[in-house]
Amino acid sequence: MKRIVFIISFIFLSLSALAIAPRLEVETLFDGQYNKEKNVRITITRNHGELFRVIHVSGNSGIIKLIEDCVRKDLLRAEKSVEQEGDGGSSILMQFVNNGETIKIGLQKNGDSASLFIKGSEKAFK
Amino acid sequence: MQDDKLTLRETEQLCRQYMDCSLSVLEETELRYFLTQVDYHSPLIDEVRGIMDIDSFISAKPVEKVSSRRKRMFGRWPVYAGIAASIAAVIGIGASIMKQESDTVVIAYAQGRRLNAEQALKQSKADMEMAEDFIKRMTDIGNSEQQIIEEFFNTQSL
Repeated sequence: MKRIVFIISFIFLSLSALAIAPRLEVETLFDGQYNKEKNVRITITRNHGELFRVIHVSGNSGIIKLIEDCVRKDLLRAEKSVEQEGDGGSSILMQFVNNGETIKIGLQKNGDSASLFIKGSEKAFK
Repeated sequence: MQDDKLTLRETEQLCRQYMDCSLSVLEETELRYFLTQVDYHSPLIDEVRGIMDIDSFISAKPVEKVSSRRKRMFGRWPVYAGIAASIAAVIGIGASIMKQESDTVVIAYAQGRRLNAEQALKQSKADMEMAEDFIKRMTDIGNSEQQIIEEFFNTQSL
């Protein structure tokens, strides 16, 4: 009896393990550490299964550098990406697929301000 | 959750749900932030703080006593873990189906303070429009560059 329970439980665990979180570096920016920063604006929206997160920074080159570092690390894992530089700014759009769902990440930097968003279904992040 | 502080019991309930993996990403973020702001302590709450790797602003009281009940359960942990995992999987599937039908939830911070619901929704809509415009613009740039490359190679092959 114990063996049957253990086998059934193991099957459930295995199935649940098929869904793996993407563990993107940019997701660490939304763990609450910047909520109290004066130069930072953060929005987290959940709407009908879609998760949308934005962080906007102005006048804080330290945080902007951290955001850029996170983006550069995730860029190595992106399935698709587009980069553009010019007019005093730069833009990067990356696309990932996780658990069969698409995640889009965009970074727009202009002068001393930067905006980063992460967009995808909640299933993509579980 | 902005001005209404949760009770110790409610906090423990949320921690229990966190351990059962039945909280969404948004709720986990909220719980993490909440645990850094309150000085509630219990074995469960401190365990969740440890898992989340939170350095609480308030120093934790040391947990000195391990319940004898936990000591007895430790010997049968494979069976109990298996049963708990099965129940958690069933609850998690049911909870995820229910949560997909819930209303829009927005959390927003600006100038170091949390915004109220109306301000948060307004900020969210503006940010979403910005993101959609950005995706469209960058996608168009990517497609046009791809077309240029294809035309170049087609020209070279002639």
